[in-house]
Amino acid sequence: MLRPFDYFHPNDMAETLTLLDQEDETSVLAGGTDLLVKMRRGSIRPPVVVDIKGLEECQGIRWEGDRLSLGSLTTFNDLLRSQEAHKHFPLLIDAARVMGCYEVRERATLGGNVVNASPGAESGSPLAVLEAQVVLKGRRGERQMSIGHFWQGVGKTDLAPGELLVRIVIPRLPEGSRSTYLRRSRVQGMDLASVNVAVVVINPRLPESREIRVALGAVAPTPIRAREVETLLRGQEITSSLLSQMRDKIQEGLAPRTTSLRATPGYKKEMVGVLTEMALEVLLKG
Amino acid sequence: MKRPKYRSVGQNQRKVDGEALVTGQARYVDDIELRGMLYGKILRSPHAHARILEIDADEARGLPGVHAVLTHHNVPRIQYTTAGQGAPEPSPKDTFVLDEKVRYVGDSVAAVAAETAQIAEEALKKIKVRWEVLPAVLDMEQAMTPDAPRIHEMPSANEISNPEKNIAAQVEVTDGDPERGFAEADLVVENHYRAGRVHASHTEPHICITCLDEAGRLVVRTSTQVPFHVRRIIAPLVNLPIGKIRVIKPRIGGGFGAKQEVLLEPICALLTLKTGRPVRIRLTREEEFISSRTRHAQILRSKVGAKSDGTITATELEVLADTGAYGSHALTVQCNTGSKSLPLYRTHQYRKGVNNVHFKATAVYTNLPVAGAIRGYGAPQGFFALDSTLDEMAHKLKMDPIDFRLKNLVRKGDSPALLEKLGEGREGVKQILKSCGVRECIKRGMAEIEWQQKRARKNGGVVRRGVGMAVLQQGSGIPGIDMGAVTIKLNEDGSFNLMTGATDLGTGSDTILAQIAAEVLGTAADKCHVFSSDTDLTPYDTGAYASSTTYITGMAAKKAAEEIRRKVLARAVRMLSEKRGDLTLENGRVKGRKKSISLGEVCADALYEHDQEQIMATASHISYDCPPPFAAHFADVAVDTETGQVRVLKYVAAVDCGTAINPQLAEGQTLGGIHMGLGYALSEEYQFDDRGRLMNPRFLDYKILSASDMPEIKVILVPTFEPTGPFGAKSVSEIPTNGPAPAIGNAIFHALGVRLREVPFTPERVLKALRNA
Repeated sequence: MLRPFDYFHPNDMAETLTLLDQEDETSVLAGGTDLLVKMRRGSIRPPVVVDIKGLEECQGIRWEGDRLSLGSLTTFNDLLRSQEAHKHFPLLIDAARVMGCYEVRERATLGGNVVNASPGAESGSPLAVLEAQVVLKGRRGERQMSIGHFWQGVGKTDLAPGELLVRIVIPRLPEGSRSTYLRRSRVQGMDLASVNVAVVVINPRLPESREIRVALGAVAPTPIRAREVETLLRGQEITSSLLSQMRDKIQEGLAPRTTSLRATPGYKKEMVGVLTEMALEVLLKG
Repeated sequence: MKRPKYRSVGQNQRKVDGEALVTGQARYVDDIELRGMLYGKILRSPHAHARILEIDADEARGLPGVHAVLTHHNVPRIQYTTAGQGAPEPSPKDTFVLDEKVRYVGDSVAAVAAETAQIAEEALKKIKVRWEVLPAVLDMEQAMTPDAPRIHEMPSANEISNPEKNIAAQVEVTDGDPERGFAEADLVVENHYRAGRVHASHTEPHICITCLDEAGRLVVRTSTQVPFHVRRIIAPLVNLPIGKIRVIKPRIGGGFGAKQEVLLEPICALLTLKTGRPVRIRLTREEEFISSRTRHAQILRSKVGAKSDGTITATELEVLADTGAYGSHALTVQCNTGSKSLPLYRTHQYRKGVNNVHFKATAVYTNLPVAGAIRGYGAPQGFFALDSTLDEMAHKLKMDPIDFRLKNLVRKGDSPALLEKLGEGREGVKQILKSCGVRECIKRGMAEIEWQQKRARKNGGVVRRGVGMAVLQQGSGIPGIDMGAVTIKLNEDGSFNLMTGATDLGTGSDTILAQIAAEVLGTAADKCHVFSSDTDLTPYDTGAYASSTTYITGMAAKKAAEEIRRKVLARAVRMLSEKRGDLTLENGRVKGRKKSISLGEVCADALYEHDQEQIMATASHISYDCPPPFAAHFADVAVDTETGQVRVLKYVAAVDCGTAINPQLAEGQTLGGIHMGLGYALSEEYQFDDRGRLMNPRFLDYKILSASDMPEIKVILVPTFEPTGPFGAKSVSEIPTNGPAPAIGNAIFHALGVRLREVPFTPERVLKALRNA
C-alpha cells in the first residue's frame, strides 16, 4: 500500500535540481514503471517524489557531432519510433521491442531503465556494448562517465545525491557495423530477461579487421562486457572450433546469483554462449 | 441423424451481460460501498509450522480506528472444511476459522477490522505473537515417513484418513483382475510423472463484504461460485440459523474453481457480528497466490499393459497428491484423477467382460499452501500421466499413436465399470455412454493439423519439429448429487425473469440459460432477464463446478420454461378460441390457425382479467447420468535443442460437447481452457524456498502465457446429441484444460525422441532430458 509522500512537478531544470538538492531521500519519477512498483511493494518509501516528466533537457533524440544523444526521458516507444535508432543502433530496437508490453513501453524511460540498474535490464547490455556515456547534472555542475563505471552493482549507481541523469550519449559506429540483442525469457510477452546478450560487429565483411563486441546481461551484478571473448574473436575466421572455444571462454569467471527465479546459474552460463553464437550467425550472414 | 431446428439454441447469441461488462457497468463485490464499512485484514503466519504460545492483541485493539481484533481466543472453535461442496462435504473437516496452530506460511493467525485499510495494516503489525516453531514437512514424499512432523494432531481430527501419517484422504478401486491383465500383456509400460502446483489466476481476487440488514440478518456479498454452500457452511461458524443468512453473488471476475471455496466469508461475518458494522475483506494478489487455493501437485505412477496387436489388457494409476496444509477437495480431486482418465479406454476387449483397472490415490498434508478445486479438478494430472504412457506404448508397439488409441477407446453404449465404483468421494453411479463423438473429433483434428504429413516430416538441426496428440474426456455435473433449479416468471411486455442460483463467473452461463428458456418459449434470448444469484431470491443450485451448469441447471431452465409454456398455451386456448394442438409459440407470440396474441397479452390476461395468477414456474433438475464430453487435442511444436525452448506453433482442439448451445461461447471456453493448459504445460509453477515460503507470488515471476505467447489455435466443435442434456448439450468448460500437457509432451517426444515426465516443460528440463537421453 502506498505511503503518503510529497509530490513536486518542477517546471525547469534549475527548479528540479534545487528540489533534488534540498530534500533528503528524494525519488525521481519519470515513467514510474519501476518506482511505483517499488513504492507499492514498500521496498522504498520516499517522503518526496519529484516528477521530471516534461523537462526539456531530458528529452529528444539528436546527433551531437559523432554521438547520438538520447534524453533520459526517451521512452521505449520513442526509441521504437526513432529512425536514427533503427538505422544506427538496431540492437536498441531489438531490446525495446521485447521490453515489457506496449503500455509499459509507452511510459518506461531509457533513463529510468539505466538508473534502476537492474543486471538484466533490457537496455543494459546494449548500452554497455555501445560504450554509451551518461550525462549527470547537479547544482554544482555536469559530469560525464562511461555507463560501465556508472553501474556499480544491483540497483547501485554512481549517481550522487542531488544529481539527475539527463542524457545518454552513444558514439556512432563505423559505417557498415551490425548489431543485435538476444535474450532468453520464460514467456514471450511481459517477462524480464532470464539472460541476454548484445553483440556489435564492426567491419563484418573483412575478417582481418573485424571487431566483435559482446556484452552480457543478468549474469553478474551489472551488465558486463565479455572482453576475453572479444579478444578471442578479433580478426579471426569464425569456425566451429572457434565458436566452441568462445562458448567455453564466455562462461569463465561468471557466477550468476543462485537465487534467481528465472533461471539457474548453469543455464544462464550456457545460454550466453548459445545466444552469442546465434547473434554472430545472424550478424555475419551475407 | 435429422437434427431438430432451433431458433435460439445453437446461435451465437450475444452475451446477456456483455454490454455491462465491456462498458464497465457490471457491479462486482468491490464496487459496493456500504455506509460505515470497515476494512478487514488478516495476519498471516511467517512460519510453515508453528504453535501460537501467546497472542497479545491489546495494542492493536487500542489503535484509534480499530474496531475489532479476532484471534483463536475469541472465535468459535468448530472444525469445518472450506471446500464448497454438497452436504455432507466429502472433504476432511480439518480447518478452524482461527487456530492455535499455523500449518503453512500464509496461514491465518488473526483478523482486524478498522476504519481504513491502512489502519488495519498498522494494527496487524501491533499484534504480538510468541511462537513455538515446529519442524515442517515440505515434500509430499516425506510427509508419510515415520519421522515427519504431524500436521493435524488433534484427536478430534475428524474425517482425516490417517492423521498420524499426514494422510488427508485415500481411495483405492480395483475393477476386474488387473494383475492377470498385466500378466497376459505382451508389453507393459510403466513410469512416474510429476505435475506441479499452479494457481487459477482469476482476474478478480477473493473478496467479501458482510453486513447486518434491518432485521438483524447477516448479508454476505461475496465473489463465490457456490452461494448456497457458503450459506450452509458458515451457519454453524457464525452461530446463526441458515434462514438468518443471505448470500448474494454479484458479478464475478473469474474463479476457475478457486472460488468453490469458503475462504473469507466466516471471518468477515464474525467481524461484522462483533462490530455490528459492514466489513470488507479483499485478498491482495500476493495473498491470492499464497493463501487461496492451488491445483494439487501430484506424483503419478502410470502403467499400461497391451497385447502386441495394440489391445490394452490392463491400466493402472497410482497417485500421491500434495493437498498442502488442509484437505480441501483432497479426496474428490484425487478420485477425479482416476475417474476421468481411466474409463476413456476399454481394457476388456482382449478377454470379453473383464475390465482390468486399478486406481489408488493418497492425498497427504504438507506445510505448504492449500490445494483445492481448479478447472479440470484432478483430470489434467491424470491425462498427463495416462496419455503420455499410451503414447509411449504406441511407440514401443511401433503403432501410430492414433491407431493405438482408436483401437481401445470407448464407444457409445459402453458402461465403464470403474465409474460405478469410483464417484464423488463415494461409490459412483452406473453410466452408459449415450453419445460419443470421440472418433469424429480425432478424424477432424487429424485433418486440421495435417497429422500424416507432419508425422512423416524429416527432422534434424538445432530446432526440431514434432506433432503430438491426446484424447480427453470430462464429466457433466456430479451424477446423483448436483441439483440446479430455475424460476421463471412472465411479464406484461412478454419478457421473462429467470432466477437461478447458478453462478456465471464469466463462463457465459447466464446467456446459455436464457437461450435455453427462449428456445422453449419461442422468444428471443434478450427477452429473458437473468438474475443470479441470491439465496433469498433465487432457488437452490449446487453452484458453478464440475462442468454442471449447462447440463444440470440448463435442464432445470428447460423444464421451468416448459411449465410456463403449458400455462401460456392453456390461457391462449381460451383467449384465441382455438384448439391446443393448433397453437405454436413463435417470435414472442402464440399463433393459432386464424389469430395470434402476444405473450404480453397473455400475461396481462393472467394478471388483470381472468382467473388471475402470476404465470411462473420453478423446476429442479438432477441427473444420474454424467455424460462425458470428448476431445482430441493436437500440438505442432518446435523444440530448440540448444536453448531447450518449446514453442507451440499450432494447436487444434476438436471437441464433442453434444449440442453447443452457443458455439461462440463453447469456443471461448475451449480457448480459455487451452490457455490454462498451455501455461500448466510450459511455464506455470509455484517456487518455494527451503522454509516453505512462496518465492513467486506475483505475475512478474509466476508466468502465465500472454497474448504474444499464444499459438494459432483452431477449435472444431463436433456436434453429437446427448439425449439426457438440454437440447442435446453436454459440458465444455473443463475438458480443454486436460489437453496441452499430454499433447505437447507427446509432440516433444516426436520431435526429440525424449519423453518429458514433469510439467511444466521448462527449457532447463528439456535440456536435462536431452542430456540424460
